[in-house]
Amino acid sequence: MTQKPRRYLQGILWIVLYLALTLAPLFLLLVGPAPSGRGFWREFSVAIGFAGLAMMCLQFVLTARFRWLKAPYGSDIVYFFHRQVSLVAFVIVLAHPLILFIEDPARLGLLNVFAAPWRARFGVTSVLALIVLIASSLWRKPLKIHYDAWRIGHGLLATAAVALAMGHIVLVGHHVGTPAKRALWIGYGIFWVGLLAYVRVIKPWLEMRRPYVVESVTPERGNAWTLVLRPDGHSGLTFHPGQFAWLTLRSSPFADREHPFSFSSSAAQPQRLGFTIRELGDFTRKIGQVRPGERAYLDGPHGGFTTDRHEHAARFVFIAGGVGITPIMSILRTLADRGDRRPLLLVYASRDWEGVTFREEIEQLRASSRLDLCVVYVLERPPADWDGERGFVTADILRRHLSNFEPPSAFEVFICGPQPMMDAVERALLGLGVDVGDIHTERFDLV
Amino acid sequence: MRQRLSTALAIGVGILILVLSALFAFLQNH
Repeated sequence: MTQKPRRYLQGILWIVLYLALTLAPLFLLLVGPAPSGRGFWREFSVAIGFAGLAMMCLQFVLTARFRWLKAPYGSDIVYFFHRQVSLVAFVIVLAHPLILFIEDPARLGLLNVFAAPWRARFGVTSVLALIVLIASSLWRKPLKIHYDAWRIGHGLLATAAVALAMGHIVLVGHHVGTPAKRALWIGYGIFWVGLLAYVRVIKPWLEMRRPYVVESVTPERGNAWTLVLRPDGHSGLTFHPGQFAWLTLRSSPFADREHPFSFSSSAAQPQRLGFTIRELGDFTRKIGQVRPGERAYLDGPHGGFTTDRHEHAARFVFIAGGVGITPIMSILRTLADRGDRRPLLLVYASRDWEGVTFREEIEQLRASSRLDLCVVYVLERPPADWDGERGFVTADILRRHLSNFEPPSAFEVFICGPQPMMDAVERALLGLGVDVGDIHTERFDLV
Repeated sequence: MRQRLSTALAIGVGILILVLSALFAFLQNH
């Protein structure tokens, strides 16, 4: 089986498994001996409460950075699903008490956590934690919550919401009376605690044992910095060009202050790992202050945004916007080091000519015999004498330059850049007849 | 496109849960 059908199959398998694990509590409620019915709406509310909790537990799996789980879709899509399905879980969890309140308004008294029984206190606090969790994620930037604080809070609130909901189920005691049902919920609990221990304790501990040292910090065009790391006392890591790693600087891996960045260096030279970072957010603004000799930790490589997964592709098209050039630069450097002469087209959008990160090196690669590279710059604010493409990457621009790459099925496209640009380019490519399976994206800015 | 598919999957999971929950509630009371 070639790589693509195998990935599709794997992708479908994970979706089926996700559905099975989410719906398992409902099936168990249906098949096992159950207490006698207490009215349709009450039982309906109970059922969605159980399913909502199963969904909340599975959220931890989605963000546990299992490479085998993310391989078929790409990391960004798994995070995006985590975000979307959390909203669905939130609605379902919220509907659980709302239905009970509508059915019998006297139950509203349970909201008074000072007078309510413990089972209600657990339930109410769990929902409150969930409300804060969702609100702080959806509106992190307007609420001006620092990314590091948000990440730590996100983990703590999620843990609290699930633990409190488990307590609520045990204290209510309904539908957990049989050994099979108890075993299922204990199993869910153990699985979840084990996962948490793996992500928060074992993984950081493994990272601590494999530190890196900052070798150099170099300014680049476009308000960016390139950070080069080398392994300190171990063999380092190997990666595929286009992948990313979680980087911890000036902090311990246990502090949960890591940030995802694409490798920008060649995968053929893994002893010097380069990351090119634009000054955009809380953390990235301080990159220029990092000094050679400082210690760093890496969790990676991650991500499926790589040409290495498409060995049989005849050509590649890269569409980069701003600092989205970093994973693509890693791919170009790697292909050049490997002497890969497959035809490549790079469409590179930037605000202005002076801010085109890696401009000189891209020009060198274009002129060299190591690559068969064609480059199209698209400038938002071009200089007066500019005779290249201007504005944004549109369907027209793509049609003009992709004409050498006919038919559309003959190439794989990699897009990385700001969210609106990626959406527009993806739509344009689909309109030009490019297969959705041949379009690969990397999106980071989800929170 | 992939984002739309994953949104559709998330909504699909929600609908499935609601349908199965209704089935459960119905069977419990009959």
